[in-house]
Amino acid sequence: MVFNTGAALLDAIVLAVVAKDGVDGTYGYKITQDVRSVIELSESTLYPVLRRLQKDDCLETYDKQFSGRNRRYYKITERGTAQLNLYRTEWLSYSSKVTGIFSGKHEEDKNGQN
Amino acid sequence: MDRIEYMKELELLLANIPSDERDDAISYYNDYFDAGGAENEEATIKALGTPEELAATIKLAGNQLDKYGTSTKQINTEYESKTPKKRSVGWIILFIICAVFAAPILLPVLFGLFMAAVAIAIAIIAVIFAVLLALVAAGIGVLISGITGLVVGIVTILSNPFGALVVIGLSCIGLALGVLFCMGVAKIIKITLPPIFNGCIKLIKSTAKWLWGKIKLALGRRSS
Repeated sequence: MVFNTGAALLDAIVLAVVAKDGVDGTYGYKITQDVRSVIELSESTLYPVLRRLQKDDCLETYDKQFSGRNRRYYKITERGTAQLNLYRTEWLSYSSKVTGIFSGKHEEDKNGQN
Repeated sequence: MDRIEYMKELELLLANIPSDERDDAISYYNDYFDAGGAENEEATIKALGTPEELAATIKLAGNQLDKYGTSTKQINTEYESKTPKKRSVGWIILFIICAVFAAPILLPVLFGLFMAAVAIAIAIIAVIFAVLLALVAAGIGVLISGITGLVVGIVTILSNPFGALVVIGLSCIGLALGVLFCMGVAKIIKITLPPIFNGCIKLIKSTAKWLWGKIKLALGRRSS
């Protein structure tokens, strides 16, 4: 991994991952695997993030029976959805600026070569 | 190490955090192992790191939640921190306006109060001086009467020997007392005057410094 993922971006990715699983949300292990498909992070990193989002009222938990065991599910709250939309807007702005400066440089090199 | 040992170890390492936090973390990672399945147990243990490392991550997360709040709040505080500067400039302007309007009454009143304080201080010092002077005068008076008595006694010793002796005796006693009294007064003066003097000088110095500091502050603020 070349670029570091800050706390805010990590929060955003986790919220997006939980949101895409619909109203019922999903459980910790699956969240971890889904996030790891997007960015590299160690499996122990996710628990603190989930706790933070929970304390923030962006996620809420409930227990559901699975294979005779109790399993904790996370689902996104209204506030979490609002926060995720904020992140989405911020990301669009941020990433387009970065893309812009990267592609601008690329064009300069092209002209230099000609 | 198998999963059961791992989780036992983790629970021990989390003994010093609040029980609800500990239970929360333990149940999360039990769920995690369950979801991974028995066949993935070893891989999961490897992926999670040692129990010590995992416990440290959990505790660090707990501390950060207490100390720094959360990331969403951080976004808000970034925008909030831009306003306090505006607030203080506004207060300064308000303060200056009030000061200008209040000055015609406020300044004379303050000046009057200040001079009254100065007058009282001077009066107290004057009283002290007067008392000291009186003591000195009394001392000198006793001395003079003692010496006078002595002279009278010596002069009349021929005409009235016994009387003269009495007078001489009394005068000597008077003189002795007078000298002691004067020495006492001298000591009192030595003890009380220098501190009063130094105190006055210090007071004047510190008042001047304080005033100068306030002037510099006011000038400094306006220029920034």
